[in-house]
Amino acid sequence: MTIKDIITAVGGEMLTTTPIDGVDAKGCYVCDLLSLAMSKVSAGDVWITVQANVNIAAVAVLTEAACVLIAEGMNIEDSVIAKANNEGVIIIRTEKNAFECAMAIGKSL
Amino acid sequence: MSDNSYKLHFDIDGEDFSVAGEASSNIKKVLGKLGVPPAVVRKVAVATYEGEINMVIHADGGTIDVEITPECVKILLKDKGPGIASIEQAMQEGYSTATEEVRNLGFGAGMGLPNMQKYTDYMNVDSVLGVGTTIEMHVNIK
Repeated sequence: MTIKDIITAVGGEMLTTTPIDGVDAKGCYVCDLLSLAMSKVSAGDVWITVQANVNIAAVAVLTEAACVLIAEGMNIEDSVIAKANNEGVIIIRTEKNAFECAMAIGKSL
Repeated sequence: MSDNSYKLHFDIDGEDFSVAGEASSNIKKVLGKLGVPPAVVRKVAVATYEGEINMVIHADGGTIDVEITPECVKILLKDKGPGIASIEQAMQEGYSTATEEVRNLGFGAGMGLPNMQKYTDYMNVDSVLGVGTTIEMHVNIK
């Protein structure tokens, strides 16, 4: 599943300028606790969360998530986007809730 | 100490969540470049990230030293924080002394030390109240 497929599936918007070519999402994980996400997100997963603080970039880098999908249209500060761009992390945001996101992605994977 | 070891040292800033994870990210990059298997890199990344976050949340920073040999990745975390009152309690999943503010950031789930133990092949926690905490962790490569 490409990043463009994900954006289409969840009606999302791309927040980062990190290159998306060649990124292939293979799975999905939903959690807002960073310690759980840290140990459970697999490389290539779409990580769905409502956490939008700067630490999501570090977790995404360390877990090699395909992208972070911010649900519920949560506000995200420019500094978080800047850090994600620096670290090569892709962040997408949607108004959909985490369940709707997971359903949409699950159908397309 | 092995002759063909590779060493890294990081100073961790306390209470600065914006840079938390950078040391772990650097360690991960170096391990990748050294050709350490991805599964081992993942274990080290989880363990060092939890340690790094603990230092930021609880201890006003500290240091991380990593020694990489062909056989093992050894991680030494040192802080001069308040120390851990009960290591046994701290090792239980779900136990946390983190503040509400920290919990709102997605931390403080009481998974830190348990995750560190789960993802390493050896871990020793040495803590003295009012003096600090030293944690040694090993992740075997072979």
